[in-house]
Amino acid sequence: MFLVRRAVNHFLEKNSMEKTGGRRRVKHSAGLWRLVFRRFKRHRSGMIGLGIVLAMVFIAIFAPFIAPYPYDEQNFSERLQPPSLKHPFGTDPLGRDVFSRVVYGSRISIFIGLVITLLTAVIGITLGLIAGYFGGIVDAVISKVAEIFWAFPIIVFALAIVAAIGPSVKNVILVLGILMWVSFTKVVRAETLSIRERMFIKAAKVIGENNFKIIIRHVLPNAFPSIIVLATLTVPDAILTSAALSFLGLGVQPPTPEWGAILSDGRLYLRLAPWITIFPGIALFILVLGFNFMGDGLRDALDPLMRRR
Amino acid sequence: MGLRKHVIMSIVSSIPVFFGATFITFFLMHISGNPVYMLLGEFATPEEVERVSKALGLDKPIPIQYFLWLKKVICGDLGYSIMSRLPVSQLIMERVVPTLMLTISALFVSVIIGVTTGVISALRQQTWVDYALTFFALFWFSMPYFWFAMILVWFFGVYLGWFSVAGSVSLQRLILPSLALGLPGAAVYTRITRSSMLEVLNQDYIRTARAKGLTERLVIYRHALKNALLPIVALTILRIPWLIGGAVITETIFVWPGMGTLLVNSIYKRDFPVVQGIVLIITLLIIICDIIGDIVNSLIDPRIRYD
Amino acid sequence: MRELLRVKNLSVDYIVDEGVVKAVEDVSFQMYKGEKVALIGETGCGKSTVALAIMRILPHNARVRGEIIFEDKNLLALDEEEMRKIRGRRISMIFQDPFTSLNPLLTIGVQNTEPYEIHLGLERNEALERAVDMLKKVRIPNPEESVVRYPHTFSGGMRQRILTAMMMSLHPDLLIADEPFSSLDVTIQAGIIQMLNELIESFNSSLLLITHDLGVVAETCDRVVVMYAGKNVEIADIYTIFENPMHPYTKGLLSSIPRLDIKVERLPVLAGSPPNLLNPPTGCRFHPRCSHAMDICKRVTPPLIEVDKNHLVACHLYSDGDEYGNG
Repeated sequence: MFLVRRAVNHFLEKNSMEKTGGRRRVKHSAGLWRLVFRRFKRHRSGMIGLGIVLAMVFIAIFAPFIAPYPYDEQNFSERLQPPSLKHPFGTDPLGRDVFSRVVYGSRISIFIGLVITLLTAVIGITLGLIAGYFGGIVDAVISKVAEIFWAFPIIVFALAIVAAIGPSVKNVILVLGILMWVSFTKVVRAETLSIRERMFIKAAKVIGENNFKIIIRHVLPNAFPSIIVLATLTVPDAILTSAALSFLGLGVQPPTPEWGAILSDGRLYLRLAPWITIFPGIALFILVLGFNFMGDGLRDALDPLMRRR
Repeated sequence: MGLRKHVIMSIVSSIPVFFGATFITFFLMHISGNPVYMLLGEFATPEEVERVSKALGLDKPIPIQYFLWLKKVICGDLGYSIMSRLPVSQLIMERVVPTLMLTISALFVSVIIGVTTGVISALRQQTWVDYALTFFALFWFSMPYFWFAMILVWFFGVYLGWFSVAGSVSLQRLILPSLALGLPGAAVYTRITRSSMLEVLNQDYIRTARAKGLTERLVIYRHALKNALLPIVALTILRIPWLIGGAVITETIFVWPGMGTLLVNSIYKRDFPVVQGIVLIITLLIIICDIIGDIVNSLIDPRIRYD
Repeated sequence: MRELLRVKNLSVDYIVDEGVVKAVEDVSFQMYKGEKVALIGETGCGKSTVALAIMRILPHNARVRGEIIFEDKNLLALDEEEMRKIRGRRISMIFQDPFTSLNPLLTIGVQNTEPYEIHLGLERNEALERAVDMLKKVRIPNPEESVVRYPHTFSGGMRQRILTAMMMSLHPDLLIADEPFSSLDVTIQAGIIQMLNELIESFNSSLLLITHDLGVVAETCDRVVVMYAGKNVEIADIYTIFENPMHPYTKGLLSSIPRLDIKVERLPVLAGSPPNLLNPPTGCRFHPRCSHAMDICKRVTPPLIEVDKNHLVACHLYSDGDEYGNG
């Protein structure tokens, strides 16, 4: 998965940096990237966050091997049992093992979070490029819409829309992906504007190069650090919001063990079986925490790169 | 640009958003399923369906329905709930106050806790206090507020049995939901206050204040704080819509009779007019907050005022 | 003349991510009562740091060593409360940028009455009276009205006057002025210089003027301390500095002033650029740019020695001693 690859890259780059003296990164000086890695390593919560995320990804990938039971195996004789050796997180009203459901749930949450973030990044970046490049009315409109979207409680809107077009994972991803674009647009727009100011764009225009290609070639690498940090911090937001939607019954459908959905089950049995609420919530919390810590650490570490603007 | 011009620009550019938001909701609600079936049940005859549809105006094309609806809205008529036949505006009015109560007290909690911790964090920068508070901010920021709400309900309501979990509106019952919504919200304030405070403390005029021989206390309270809290005020105004969003789920969990529970229930029951009405109100609110936020920003800073 | 301030072996390091910046190293000089001393040098040579060190308002990542003796007390050894009583009252400082040095959200009435309220414990009314008086002295028009206005309603020159009035409120013994003219229009500068001179003289204060503007120095000051890359390289009175500069850096500095009476094809320029203070050159910090550099200059830091009456230089050209600079 995406994050696994990134973590592996991290180690690969570290090694190859030693060998090739940082030639892998052509655009920025090797010293600067080395500084970034060093800073990230020093950031304790960032490293903890990375660890948590990696652990969760691991659990998600190897869920079938970690979970002792299938997530939908019902066993009425064992319903609503408190945590025990046999069922570390207890069982739910249908006799399903909560621990297994939580383990499998990690797959869904991570998947949803990543896909939404990807979608929203693409939309946001595109809009940002357009706004920054064309300027004028186009920019004014996009910016104002962005400003209002920013304040919008996405969940209210998402609620209405998902309810209307039918609750499903696909729809949740679509709706949230479309609604969360603002931050990316802001970042990319700012970068595009600053690039546009620079002389060599004007010079290249005289030569006649394709303008859009210029923009993309220059804006994206410069905006890269900010985008990465933003993406890392959008994933947990997406995960939380989609969990909230599922909690209200408007996301995944049973028996899919998405954490929000399990919490929704748990609500009815709060008095009798609080473990159904407690454990998936802790898992959700930890996953979100992991990403937020990691994003925070990344932001601090990438500060020298971002400050170079 | 002048204040008046600025406000007009804000309003003008908010209009498309307003229409966009309401229309989209309208559109989606209507293509999703005919509420008539929910009213009459699955075994309604086609004639009955047609009759009720006509009565509710559901047989016309959607854009026309939308404009008709808009016309009524401008006159203050938000339509009638399909389920209860009561006027939507009345339903909403009953619920507005509880939601506002919750939102404001949650805001209160967030601001008090967030700003205090942010200031302390900045003053004790890079000491263990700072790290602990920053960690806490991140901790609460990641907290799934609906889960936290349920834990509160369980712990205080079920386990300790202190608070009743029935659906009345009372100050005592307000405490838990305010905490549930307010604590996670405080984290944003902590972070912003901290960075704002740090930035202010690095300014030249603070150096001047110190060079005058002012006590540290005076430097902080009279010189630094005001400047640092400026952006907070605007932020607060823009946070209100978010709080309302959070209130939706929080109300549901605490069975608090506000707009949130109304919205959720109406969505389940496909009660279009109510959903439409609530989305309208919220959209209006956001636009108003946005504009007010702009105005407040320019008023508070005497520099901008004189521009 | 009575000695007012003695800076002894002052060193200031800044701790940053990349390491330690040796901003000021082993700087020593004295000031006497009623004197006007200029502290000159390029940007980044540490002169502002010296000023901040005297006031003890350095940023929190600064580490200070040495002594600063003021009225028989070592300022660096005082506790914060005692130092606070001195700031603004016995030693004051005005800063470079008048646009950012005043609090934008407080009226100048509030800002200028604070010194009276805090140090003298005066009531608001009386403090306001005195503040208005000070504003008159610095020639702010309509001082009674001005006190309810905000800083941004005043021009840069006015703001600098307000700042000066604020800092001179209590007639400090020493005023440190950190490049007070640099952000101002040349035409305004003259007025500010004059105002400053008047105030200093009428209060019988001493002035430590930090600047890189040699013209102002020539006009105003009695003595000059030259700094380079965190070290002081020459100290002399105003006439000596211009007529008989000894340190190669001082010579270079002075020769680069354009002159009206001599025609030159090109202005002489000091080769090279100031060193990175994270990793300053060994020995004499000027040696990489010095045309007279000798072998010893790379290895041993030249001590500051008196080569003439009240003329001190830190250069191996003049210290004919052994490795340890004993002449």
